[in-house]
Amino acid sequence: MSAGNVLVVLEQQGGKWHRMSWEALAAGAELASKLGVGVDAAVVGKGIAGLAAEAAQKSIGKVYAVDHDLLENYSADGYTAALEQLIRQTQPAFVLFPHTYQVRDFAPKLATRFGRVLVSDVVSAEAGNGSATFVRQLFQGKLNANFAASAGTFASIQAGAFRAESLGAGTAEVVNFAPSIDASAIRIKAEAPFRESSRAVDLTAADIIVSVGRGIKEQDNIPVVEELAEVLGAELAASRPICDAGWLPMERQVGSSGQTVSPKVYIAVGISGAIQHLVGMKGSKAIVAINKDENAPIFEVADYGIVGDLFEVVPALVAEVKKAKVS
Amino acid sequence: TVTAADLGVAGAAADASSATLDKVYMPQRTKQAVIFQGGDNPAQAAAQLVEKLKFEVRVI
Repeated sequence: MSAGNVLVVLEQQGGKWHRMSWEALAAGAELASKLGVGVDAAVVGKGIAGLAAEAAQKSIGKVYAVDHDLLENYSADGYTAALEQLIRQTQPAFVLFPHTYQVRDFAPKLATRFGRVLVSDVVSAEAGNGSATFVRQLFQGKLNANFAASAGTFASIQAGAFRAESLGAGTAEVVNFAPSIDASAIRIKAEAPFRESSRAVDLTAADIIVSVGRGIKEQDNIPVVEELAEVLGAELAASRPICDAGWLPMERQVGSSGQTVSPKVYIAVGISGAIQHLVGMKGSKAIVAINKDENAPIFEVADYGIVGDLFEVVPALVAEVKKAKVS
Repeated sequence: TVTAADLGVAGAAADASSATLDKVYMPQRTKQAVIFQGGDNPAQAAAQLVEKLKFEVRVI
């Protein structure tokens, strides 16, 4: 595969962008800049002209609108067939994706079509002389691994690893791409999508989030943290163990299997900082950690922290916030 | 015993991998949190944090 631009496959579902798409595009733009090539984007679906036009407002080269009736509903077979044709035609240097559940479903299959690997959940990338080095985390983030990648490698980008705000505005060319897909090639028929429950809380819209983890010990202690959220005017969130235990509803979960948030301030109370939680919040503008373990991984991503017993620190914080608000 | 050759991934197929593991290492901490010790004096640590939230982060 000859060297070309970096191609970033954006994700949309039902006409709405997955927010990680822009982070992946930012990663692609950064990689392309280091390689000295351009960056293009691809959006897949049916009737996606509007989405393609929206993507074209970013500072990139081209937006490929991969449009076909059989791509209206996601299927691994359909997406793989369509993108294989696009990639064979455009011959990008590297192909990037946001590391979403959907990408995990089809991207390895797509990479295999080209005899290539997918380097997944990448947190950073270096490049030079036509090749790249992708960095991914191992063992809950305790180690990093560098993968030397030749042109033609596929990679998915970890949530929060790159900032979407770094993308500039522009007027990219929209190129319509009509893949040839046979209905018989799609082996799974999707039924109508559904939500298990309607979300009453949109953590992604919150400016301040106070999040509670297993350090809270018991459900009866949750009000300690609720009071902090209330005085700050914050939304209450939680790590997965809290929601799995039923102490807070699942819609308040932040992490790889919950919501991904990037508020102005994320206050993590009694949260150790497991990688599955960090990927859901490390894009926050400022991170505050309160934990009695000074070696907790959460302090490695925090901007500010208090090492101490949350049952003493949080009530003291509530008192100080109240004082600060009247002063 | 199943070998790489049995799975069809030996020789040229294995050598053609487009990504190879270069090194494994402990990540360098790029972020240094401002830490307040709340063990002996949680009220003081809380006051220090609130000052940061008010004047630096500007959310209070």
